[in-house]
Amino acid sequence: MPVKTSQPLHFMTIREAASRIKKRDLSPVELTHAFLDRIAKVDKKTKSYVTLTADSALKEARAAEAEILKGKYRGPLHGIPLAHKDLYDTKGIRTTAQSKVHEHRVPDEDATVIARLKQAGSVMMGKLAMHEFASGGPPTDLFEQARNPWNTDYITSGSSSGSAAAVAAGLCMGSLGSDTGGSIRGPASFCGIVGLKPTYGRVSRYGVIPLSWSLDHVGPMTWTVEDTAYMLQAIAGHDPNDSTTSRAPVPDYSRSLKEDIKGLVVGIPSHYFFTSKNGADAETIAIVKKAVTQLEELGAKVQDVKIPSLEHVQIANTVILQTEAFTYHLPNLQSQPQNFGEYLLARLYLGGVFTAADFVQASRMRSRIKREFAEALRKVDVIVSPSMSGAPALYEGYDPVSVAITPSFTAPYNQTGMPAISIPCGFNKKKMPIGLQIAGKPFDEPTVLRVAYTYQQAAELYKKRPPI
Amino acid sequence: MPKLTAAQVEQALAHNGIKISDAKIKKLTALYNQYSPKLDALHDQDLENEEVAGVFSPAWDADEEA
Repeated sequence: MPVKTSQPLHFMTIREAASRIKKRDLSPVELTHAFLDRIAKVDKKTKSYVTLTADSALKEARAAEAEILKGKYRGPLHGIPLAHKDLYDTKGIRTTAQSKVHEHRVPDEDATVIARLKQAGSVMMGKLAMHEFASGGPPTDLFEQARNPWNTDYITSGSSSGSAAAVAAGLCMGSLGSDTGGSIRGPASFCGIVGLKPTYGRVSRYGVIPLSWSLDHVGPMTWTVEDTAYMLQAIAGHDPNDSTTSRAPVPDYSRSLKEDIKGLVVGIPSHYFFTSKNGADAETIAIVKKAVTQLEELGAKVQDVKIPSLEHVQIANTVILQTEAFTYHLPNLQSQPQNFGEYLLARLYLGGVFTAADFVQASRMRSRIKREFAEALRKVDVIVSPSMSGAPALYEGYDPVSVAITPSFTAPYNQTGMPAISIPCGFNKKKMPIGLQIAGKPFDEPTVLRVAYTYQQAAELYKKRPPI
Repeated sequence: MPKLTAAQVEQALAHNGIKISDAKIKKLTALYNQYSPKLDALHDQDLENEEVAGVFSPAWDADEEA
């Protein structure tokens, strides 16, 4: 296939690359080589890959090229290089959850979502760094931690740290992350990319190592909202292997993206998300408020909403998450505690100290929070806030414990199962990204994506890539 | 609810078949007690008739397939 290289291939979006691949103007093999070259040059600084599958990626790229040349084009992900959080089972390829417990673990079956992306014709570049078992924080012993491509002195947030770093730095075109309290949206916010936590039950978690069964979500991380829609299209839908997946029909996520947002009502729970009482820093609030003003200029109406029980969301999420995680890890905590990192161990043990009454009360509070959001969503179409209370912190001296006990801006949507996306909305004075979070009604990813797409096209922040 | 003592934390873990060092018990107790005020506030809430939230569905596979 002939190749035109008018822009760096590694900075193309999935949409741009797909358009050229479909027209046979770009070879998946050339594209994969471009990413492999980029990884060789840059990833020693970003440390995002823990397992690079170069040979199999090139094999998959050649197979994709052969199919496309025969006229068998599978869709926008055909021939597109992706890489995934090392939490997803990949057949024959080491899957560690960044833990010594699974240092040599090689699954014999793909996770459902990995199989679906293969079916869509994507090329898998490798497995990406993360926080230990999707819950630990830096540092961890098994692999190095990913660094923020905007400035490698800063953290990426987690736990989908490598996914965010790799997408931002042009080391893959998209990635699957996971989100139990914000682990897609936090890194997306800190690395200036798009990260979607879909509705609970929208995407299968079969073959994804659990952290907390009732809070875990699987979702895409990409450079643009349109690319996220493509990935969601490929992975969404009922899975007989995952009894929590919904049979709700999967809509065409790209179809309504480009409709305008005139008359759409945006709810702002300012009492929780826009106050320094909950740790939101003034600069982040100002940047996100500008984004909200831009939504109004694009035709949306904005109104304040109250979710009174949000003040309890952090403790409810902590109790539910840590008790479920403790239960999952208990056999290994008993038999091989030495193979867990210190920070993760402390959090898991916490789950063993919370009582049954704590768990039940947290679960009942969860019902209350869901009810209050449902009432608010009768009056508004989406709810908007900062994704994180502040900007990325320095890696040196980072204290994951202090982060764990500050109010979470992302956990409410794990509690409720509502879809929520983080998209870039600006940079702070230190030139680090700030994220805007948009959440919607269950299974209303189309509206969430439409608002995110409309804002992203107007703000044009996708035109700026990290200087790495 | 009163804050937990190190002995109580140790007992809670032992109940789950876990034994850790005194130094770790001390750190864990301090960590737990940081959450204590929020746990108290959680338990103070009158949640009236709120049910336990969860993902359990009483539908059986046969019902879903019908």
